[in-house]
Amino acid sequence: MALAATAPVALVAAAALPATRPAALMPSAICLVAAGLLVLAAELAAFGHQFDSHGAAPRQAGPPAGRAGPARRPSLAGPATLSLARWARRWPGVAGLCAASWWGAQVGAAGLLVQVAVRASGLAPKPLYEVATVAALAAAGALPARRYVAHAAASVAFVLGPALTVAGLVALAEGRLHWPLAPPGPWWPTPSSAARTTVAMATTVVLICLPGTALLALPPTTTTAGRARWGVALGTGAAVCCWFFALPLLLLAGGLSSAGAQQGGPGAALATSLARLLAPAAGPQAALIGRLVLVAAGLAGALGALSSAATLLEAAWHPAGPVSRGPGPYAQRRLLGHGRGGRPGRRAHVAPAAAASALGGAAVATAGSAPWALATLGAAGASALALTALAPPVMGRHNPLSRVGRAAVAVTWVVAVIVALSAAGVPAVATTGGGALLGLAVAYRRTARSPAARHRGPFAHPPGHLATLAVLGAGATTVVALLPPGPRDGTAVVWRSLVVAAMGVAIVVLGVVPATLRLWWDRLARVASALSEHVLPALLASLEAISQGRALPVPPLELAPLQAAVRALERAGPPPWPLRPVVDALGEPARQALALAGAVGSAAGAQGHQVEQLVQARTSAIAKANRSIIGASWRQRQLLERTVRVAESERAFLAANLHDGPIQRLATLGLVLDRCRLRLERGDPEAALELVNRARSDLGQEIGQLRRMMSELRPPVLDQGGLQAALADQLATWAQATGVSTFFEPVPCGTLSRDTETVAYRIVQEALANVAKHAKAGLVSVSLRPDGRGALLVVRDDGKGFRPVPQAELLREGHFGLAVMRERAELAGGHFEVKSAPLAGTEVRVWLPLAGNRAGHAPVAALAGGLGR
Amino acid sequence: MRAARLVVVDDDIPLAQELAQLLAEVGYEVAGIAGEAQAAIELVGKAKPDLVVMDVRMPGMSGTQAAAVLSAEHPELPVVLWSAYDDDSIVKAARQAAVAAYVVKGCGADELLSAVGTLVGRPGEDGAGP
Repeated sequence: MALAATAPVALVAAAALPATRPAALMPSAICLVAAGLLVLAAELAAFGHQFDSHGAAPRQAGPPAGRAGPARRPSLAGPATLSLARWARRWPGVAGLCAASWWGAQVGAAGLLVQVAVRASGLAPKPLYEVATVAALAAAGALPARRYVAHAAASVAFVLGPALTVAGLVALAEGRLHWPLAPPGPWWPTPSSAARTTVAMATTVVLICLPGTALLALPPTTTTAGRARWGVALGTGAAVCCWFFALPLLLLAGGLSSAGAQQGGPGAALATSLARLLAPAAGPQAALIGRLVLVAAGLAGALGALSSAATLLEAAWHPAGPVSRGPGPYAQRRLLGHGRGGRPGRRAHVAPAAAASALGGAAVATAGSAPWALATLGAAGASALALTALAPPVMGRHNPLSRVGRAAVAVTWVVAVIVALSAAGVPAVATTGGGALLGLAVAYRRTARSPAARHRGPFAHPPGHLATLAVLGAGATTVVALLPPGPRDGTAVVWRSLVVAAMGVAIVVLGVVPATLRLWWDRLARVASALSEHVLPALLASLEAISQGRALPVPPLELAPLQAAVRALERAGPPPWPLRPVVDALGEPARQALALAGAVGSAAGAQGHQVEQLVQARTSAIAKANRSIIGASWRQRQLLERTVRVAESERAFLAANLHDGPIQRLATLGLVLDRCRLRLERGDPEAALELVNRARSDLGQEIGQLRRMMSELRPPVLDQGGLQAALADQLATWAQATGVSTFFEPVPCGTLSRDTETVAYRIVQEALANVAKHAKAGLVSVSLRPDGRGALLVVRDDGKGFRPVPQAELLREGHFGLAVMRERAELAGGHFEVKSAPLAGTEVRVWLPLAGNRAGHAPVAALAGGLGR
Repeated sequence: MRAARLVVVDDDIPLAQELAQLLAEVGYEVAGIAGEAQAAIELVGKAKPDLVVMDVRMPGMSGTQAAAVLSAEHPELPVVLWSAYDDDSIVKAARQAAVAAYVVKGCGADELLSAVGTLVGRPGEDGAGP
């Protein structure tokens, strides 16, 4: 915006200065002053905005320590701003006003200073400095701002400004300068130098400072202390405004009215004044020194203007970018309005700005009757309003004007500026070029609000805008060039200006409208894309899952893109009227989808919590089962080892028995038969018969031994009398061997399989062995009775009992008896249980399934064996 | 010419006695019967037999180990192992103990008598025994 504001002014100045008629300088000068006024209005509006934050509460007028406020971090501002900002801990309004004035002086004066100085020094030919000035101001927006150097130069101008002002005042006093706004006339009765000077200063204050005063006429504070501070701020600001804006006015006055201006222009007049001032001290070199001072002041002012313009353009390009964190004059940072939210009452700043501009215009209109003066003043007032309305950095995101209002103001501004330029005789090329620059800046500013939009579409892309505006500018230039160069009367000027203004309007409209539409289109596309790609499919899947009673997908919905898109849509404010139905048609369903998705998401979250609990429970159960399986596996391994060991020892025992028993006996029988044969060969049959009888007897004994071995391997009573008889037989044999009383009552029960009977027999055998070994019992009772679809075998003793210990511990300690019993029972498809307590006897309870009531227990036979030793 | 003197060693005393009677009936002189290896070693030291018939599986020292001892003490004394086992491992161990013969207990004593006759001569034949 700064470029948009300064470029036309620079063009005006560049075009006006070479004019041969002194009067042609007047519109340029007023435009320049209007630019300063415009910037001042923006500064004041921005500061008033900032002041709202603190001024509404007088006791907290100063920002608290540690907070990034204007009084805490002014160190990068100019020296005057710095001291004022320190002082402004209690008077923030005054400090802000001073800073705003200072910066406005930079912008307003520098452009003219550089030209006047260069021209006065005679160091460059006319075309060169014209081009250089325009190019420098234009490039200021494109080049990165070297704020430190530029600001230092501006500070030099700050120091030189008073000197130049004094020189101007001296010229006025000597009668070489005439105040342009007080031309000689019947109502100017006493044209003495002192009176003219006084009237000139008073007029300056009224014309230049009155708008600033009126701008603050409605201070956004309701307390007495706040109003008092504002009063002081107004007075100080008026003085500062007078101080700085007197300078360009004095320069203009010297150029317009002095005799020197007739010969060498305002620069020469000012140089003469300076030389006279310096003559007592510098002697004959005073003229040269005066010229050099002018050159230095002009260059410093130009650098300050470049700095300001570049900073502002950078801020416009990156609204929340480095400017807010980087260095820069305090007033510029405040102008950007960073970090300040919307405050009420800003509309009050806009209306006074317009009123002040109108007042200034009316004052000029009454002073002179030329139509260009009226048009120029109108343009200045509209410019102040337009800058306030169009520049978001000034007003933040809470611009009080509606979009239509801002557009109207912008159009008005463009029209007024172009009218003024045309009226001033500015060439059509320069006018349209300025319009193109203005449109370009406006379009850039619009598109820069959305960084993503800068890369989408021809109208949202800077080169695209540039091309568009270049074409439009060329067309407008052609149209203006074709206009007849008629006389410079009022009608012709208005007619010609209206045509050019139409071009400017077209440029702005065609530059801004597509970009705006494109931005909105991107926002809508983002919403639609997020809705269709992320939310709706997941939402449909979730609803389908709910309708079918299935678990919701986790995570069910990705809401972030749609939320961001809707938020961006809402943040953008009301859409342009052509897009309003589309935005409404898309935005409301998106919000509803978000609400529904949120509900589904919370439902999924609850369900997910349940699922998580279920998973945890199942995981715990699985872990427990795993531990059980591992324990069981360890028991199985122990049992297998024991089974193998028992089987091996039983085989060894059997082999030893065979070796020592049957084989030896049979070998002995072989020897006996050999002897028998020897006796028969010797012819002694009687002796041989004796040996035969003995061999027969030995053979019978050996058969008996083999039969007993066979019985131990498999109790024949199991096969012949069944389990009941086998148990009775086993008990009787055991009782006879141990002397312990036994009781067994056979009860008919269902048929057990052959293997299961053997298991029962071996369990009783093991239990009786344990009783004999450990229990010291007096009575053992055994029962076998039907129980459901199986048989319950109970072996109970009245011995000393024991403290039951876990099976794993038994196995670890090498006590395999109980474990083998349990394993045999379980492998047979039954259950095993031991009940015991110290001094309470022991009861072994085994439930075994009936035949045909079990399946998948093949290994029973493997454990049913054993010699029962 | 006297008959060869034999010592019978077996933990199964009835079997040993039966063998001793058979050997005596065949014509050998049975110098003694031992029920275990240690006793057999002592008996051999006293009786100076021409041959020892010894069982393999016995309590305490086995027949194979006893044969090794006897072979060390009496290199000239042939030892015939007479066993119910015909496992290759046992036969191999017996050969390593430098026994004169290994005879499996079968039906009758033909093989044993044949082995003894080969080693010390049959009763009534020349050259039988020292």
